[in-house]
Amino acid sequence: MDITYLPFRFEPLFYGALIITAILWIALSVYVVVNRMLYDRRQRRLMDDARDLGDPAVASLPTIERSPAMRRTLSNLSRQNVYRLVSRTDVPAALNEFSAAYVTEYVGTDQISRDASSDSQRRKWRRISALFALADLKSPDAHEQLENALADPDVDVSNAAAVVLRRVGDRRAASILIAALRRGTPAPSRVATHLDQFPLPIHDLIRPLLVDPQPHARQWAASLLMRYPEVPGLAAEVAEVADDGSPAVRKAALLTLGAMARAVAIPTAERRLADPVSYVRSTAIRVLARHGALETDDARRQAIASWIAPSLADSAWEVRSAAKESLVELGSTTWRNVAPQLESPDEFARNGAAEVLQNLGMVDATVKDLGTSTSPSTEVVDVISRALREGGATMAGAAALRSAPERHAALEDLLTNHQEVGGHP
Amino acid sequence: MNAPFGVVEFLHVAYVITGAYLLLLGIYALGMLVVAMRESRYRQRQEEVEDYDTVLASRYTIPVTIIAPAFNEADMVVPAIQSLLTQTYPEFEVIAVDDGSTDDTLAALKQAYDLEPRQMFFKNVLETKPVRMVYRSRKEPRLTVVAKENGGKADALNCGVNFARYRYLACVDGDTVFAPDAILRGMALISKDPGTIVGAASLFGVSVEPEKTVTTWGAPTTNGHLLGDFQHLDMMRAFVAYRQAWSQLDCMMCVSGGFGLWRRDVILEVGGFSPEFSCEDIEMTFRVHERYLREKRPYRIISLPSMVANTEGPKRIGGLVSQRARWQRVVLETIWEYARMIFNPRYKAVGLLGLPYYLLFEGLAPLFQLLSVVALVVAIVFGLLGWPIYLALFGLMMFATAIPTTVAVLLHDAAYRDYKVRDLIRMMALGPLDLLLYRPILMWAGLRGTWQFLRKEKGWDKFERNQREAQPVAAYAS
Repeated sequence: MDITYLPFRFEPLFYGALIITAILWIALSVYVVVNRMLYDRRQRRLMDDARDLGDPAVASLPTIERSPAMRRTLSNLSRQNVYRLVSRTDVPAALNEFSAAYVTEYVGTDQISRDASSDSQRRKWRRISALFALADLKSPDAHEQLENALADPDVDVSNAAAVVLRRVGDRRAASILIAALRRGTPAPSRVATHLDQFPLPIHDLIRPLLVDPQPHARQWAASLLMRYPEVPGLAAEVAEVADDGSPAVRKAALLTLGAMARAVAIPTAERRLADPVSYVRSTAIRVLARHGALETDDARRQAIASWIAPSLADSAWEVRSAAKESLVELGSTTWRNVAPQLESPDEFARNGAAEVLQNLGMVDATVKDLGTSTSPSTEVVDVISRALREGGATMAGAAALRSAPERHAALEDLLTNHQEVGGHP
Repeated sequence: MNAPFGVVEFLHVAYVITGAYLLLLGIYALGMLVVAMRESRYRQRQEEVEDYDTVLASRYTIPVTIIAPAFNEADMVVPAIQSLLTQTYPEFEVIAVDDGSTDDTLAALKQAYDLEPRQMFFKNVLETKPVRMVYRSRKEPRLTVVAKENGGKADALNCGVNFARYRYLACVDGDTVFAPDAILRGMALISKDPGTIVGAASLFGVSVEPEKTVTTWGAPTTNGHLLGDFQHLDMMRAFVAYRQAWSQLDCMMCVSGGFGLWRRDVILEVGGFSPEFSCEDIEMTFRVHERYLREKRPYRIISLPSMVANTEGPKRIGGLVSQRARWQRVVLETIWEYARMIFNPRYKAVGLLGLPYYLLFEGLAPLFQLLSVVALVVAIVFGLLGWPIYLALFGLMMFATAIPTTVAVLLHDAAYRDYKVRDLIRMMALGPLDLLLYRPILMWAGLRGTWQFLRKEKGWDKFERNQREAQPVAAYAS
């Protein structure tokens, strides 16, 4: 038989296939619509019932007796759906709690404990819901189960355990999270997020990590202690790790000191401007700028600017960038500390200084006032002329666009002046 | 009429080839739907237990630089940038790159954000066309606008990368309006495994006037415009039903230009976006796959399930054809460039599953479609068409192609419950009409794109923006 004729033998099946496919499509479409309408109805009922749970009159009752209406609603849902409600973060907490109580009544605490300890991949969502339920029920096994779950290699299980531990919010829960932070799993930034928003003060639990042999533990400890500026002696301990062997620890310590202890932060940050690692240097610059911007004493602020300004010539882009932004943050009174960088043999430093002077508003102010009754000093005119030279045609063009047309002659004067001032070719 | 010699044989061959092709496509689609349903269910459960409030309040979220290139987007650029500036994410900056627009794009931004020109020295890591001027906003310190000479979207993105300060990049389109939690949702997932996830894509809808979603996000609606709704459904099907499956199978093949999150070091390591291709997004995705798989480094590129944005889709058929022809061109360019990966086990699922899919069902699809149309015309002309059988087959195809659409709507609704019931009904009702009304346009666009590829054309072929009632741009920025 010629194979090319084979498909023709199936043609009579097309009619049947058409009918089956059409029915399948209609059935699927009806399912989508009906499913959605049922969902909407159920959701409305759940939300109405959840409002009853917040009534202060029922607060003293056992959770499961607080709303007979909610009980009726939940009885119409599958056990799987009630279980899901226990762990959903997008519904009111009272609904999570009621669902947990309902599930417990339905399946018993032993079954929930078994679900919470299941390591079956197929049942992991049930496990997660069970972990939420144990926490809501304040079960005595909750901590142990959550500790195991937090160490689970599955990121969904371990991250959910971290969420629940923060909700549990007691010191044992904090200790479990801190142990996970030391271990490095799940993602430390996630664990730290929960510790940072922990409902209790836990600085005494975090503090020992400052001397932990593992650098990442010291780093997170230094960072998390930022929340406790009022604790006596803490700033001094954090200042000690600002000279740690690990750059990540030094950076975290600088940031924390910057937020909690001004007196310690400034000298520490000044010292770290010479750090061998670029991101520590840039952090030191930003910490100095944050404090400098709050200084009411101009002399002090100018001193800080003079420490930062040489970093405009740093070999690392992120440090130069931090220096530029920080000098602007320190304000226009620091222009004299920036100006010497226009003479630097380093092109980055000269460009950077020009950009800082522009962003401080010095260029615009000079263009505006030159030749008027408030004309700037020769020193300022010379500096701005040099800045325009180092900033190049784009900086002059930008200045022209920012200034009023009648001030363009003043700008021309400054541009002419810079040819007389000279400087680096 | 008697058929001349060879016609019947031609029809038989065409019938067998297109039949085999459709069978293969059906098997593939079915497989993808099964995987997508699994992945969708998984992501849905993951989102249900995600504690977004804690992430939002965290000091430890990873800051993001959002790069929004715009070329002649005077109508859309302000709503798009405003939707980016109102993101709920804790720390981010927005770099809008005006790629040498010849319309009022820059003027609209200047007016809306009170921009002032500044000289700004930046790290020129990636070569780009010259920057004309940098603008900073007096109203919004997180916004930088870079005006540069025209060099195409890839060049504009590279320019944005040069200005970027943060470790993650959100590369977006300047004609797209974003949901307020777009970055939060993406980064919440990435932050669970930042060492491995190097890129993430997400679903975006198509709307003929997306700026109207700026203030009403949270209740997406259909367009009420037939062509717009077909495009929206097409995108939903592609993302919900197929890209989620690719994500699950570790062969995510396109981090779309409309919304893509990338780790900055990865983009720099592979040399930035390439202006050598008609479209930069697919090629970048393949370049990253190629590099990481060749070097056997652990990595993942994932697709997020949620709809994070609405982009402008053309209202006119001509505009749609131009846009889709460009997409076809870039698919062919990418397949041509990375042909060595096809069926090469070193490239795992990307080489064994993803690229062969692209070759067969995207790259060569217009040729199979053309063959079937030619065969149909020949059969009609020579009176060889069995109409009842043909109509049955066509009807079968209409409903068969509607099923993936319906499954996509089902998966989306199960996860988000955000459309009204009437919109769901409208979307599903359009499913069977897709083959009759929408696919022929795409076929034509595919053929045009293939022809342009063969002629080595590279232009952007930007479609003319949809006409709107005059609206003061600054209104969106308030």
